[in-house]
Amino acid sequence: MTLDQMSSLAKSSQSHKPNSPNDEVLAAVGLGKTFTLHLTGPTKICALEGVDLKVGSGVCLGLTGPSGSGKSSLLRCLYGNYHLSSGDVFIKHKESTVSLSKAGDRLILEIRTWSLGYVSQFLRVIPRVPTIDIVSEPLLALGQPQKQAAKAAARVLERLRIPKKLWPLPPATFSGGEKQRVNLARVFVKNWPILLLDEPTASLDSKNRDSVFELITEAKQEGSAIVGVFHDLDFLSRVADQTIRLAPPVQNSISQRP
Amino acid sequence: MDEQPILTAKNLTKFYGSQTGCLNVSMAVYRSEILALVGESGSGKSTVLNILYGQITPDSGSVLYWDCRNRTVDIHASTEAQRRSLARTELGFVHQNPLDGLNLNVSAGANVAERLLSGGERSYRRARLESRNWLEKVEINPNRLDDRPGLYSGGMRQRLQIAKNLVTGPRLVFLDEPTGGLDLSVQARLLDLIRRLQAELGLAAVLVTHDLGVARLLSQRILVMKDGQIVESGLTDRVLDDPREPYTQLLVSSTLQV
Repeated sequence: MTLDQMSSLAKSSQSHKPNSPNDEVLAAVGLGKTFTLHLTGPTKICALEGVDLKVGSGVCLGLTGPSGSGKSSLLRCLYGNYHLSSGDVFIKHKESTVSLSKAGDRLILEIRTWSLGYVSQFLRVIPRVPTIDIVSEPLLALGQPQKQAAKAAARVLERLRIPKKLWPLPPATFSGGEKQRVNLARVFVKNWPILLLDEPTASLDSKNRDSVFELITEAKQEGSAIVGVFHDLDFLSRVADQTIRLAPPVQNSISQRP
Repeated sequence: MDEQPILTAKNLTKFYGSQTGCLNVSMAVYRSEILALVGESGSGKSTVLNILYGQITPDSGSVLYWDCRNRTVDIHASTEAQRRSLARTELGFVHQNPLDGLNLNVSAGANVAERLLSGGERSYRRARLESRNWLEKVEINPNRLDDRPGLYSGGMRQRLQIAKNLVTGPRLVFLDEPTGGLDLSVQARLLDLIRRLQAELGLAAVLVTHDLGVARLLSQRILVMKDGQIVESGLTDRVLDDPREPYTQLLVSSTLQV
């Protein structure tokens, strides 16, 4: 089955803007996520239930819904960070379509290196590594030469207004906003066929929000399919071509980390 | 993805009298990957690591290694001489206690050079230069090159042992709690060094640690051991963010923010 056929199975409640391109690169079909916490009970917590979505190249899909409706959990499922409890995710990777539930760990790692980028809300890095090296890393992983990678890293750090004198320093002592921009730089340093953004503008001022808006817009023009959680509704309406509203599953109380 | 592993282990079982060392442990290690082996002390991590390296003979099961010419070596069916030759060139083992991996009767520089010379380097001068280089990489002041390791602090000894193991550019290293006794700043430096070697030289490593933070930053895949058996395995971020087994959930929830 192709990805198109796959996603046409999805009973989508997505709102479409007209004229959006239609070659889908990411689809979720009947995706559900339930956590079983063994230490207390066991307790079952349902975070997601029957989620369908599809995203095409050059399209940004915004996830909305009240706190606890599973927006971040959904992104984590799409990235393979959470196991899928039911349903499946289909990802276009190097001319083929991969079923996330069937993909082995090594394949998921390869997909994350080449096809699927993710900006989490936290910057987790090895201490003492200079910022410029952290941002270069995704390009080095693709086998690009150090010099070329550092050049690209410098360009994106500049656009996100990280002062040049901070580049040789590790980000441990940076402010919250600076760390977040390093986190963003590390992903926007390369073009991703699919990009997942979890609150990319949460602690940014308006100038930097504008820079992130530009980076997202350019990524879309380059053909990235983007799924994002944006708590800032004004920003959401500027970047999202489509939105999907998540409702908390019936028996759900918590949907963040177990 | 049909990828050739660099090492596979099948159904490794080892009893110490009536005590279980490990039971039916199987795994594969791939080029340029760091595989973490975590679990409480006594869970069998070190037993498995020593079986992989050939230092402990399992009661049953086998370990296969593919050498640099893609020949299959059955670690436990090969002769002591074959194993030693591999250990000098393609494999490395960093012991938890650095004294187990160092020669205390010769200088620090000679410890490192020794491995180079036995690995085929003919020029003593080049070996000395390379040793000095590696001491710098692990942040040991080169003016301590001629001191015996007995005069080093615990942390310096560990760094020396790591330099000694990495100097010949091995393809696969076994790391047994390598950062256990180190200052946090040195630990960070070593983590960065190992990551770099992985990216630049395609170094693969099996890392035994009880520090889930180290496992998260360094490894791509993880095996969780309890009572000599693997109870959970998978992508490191997935196992740590969405642990499914009761034991893994206990382990993750007992750790300070990983």
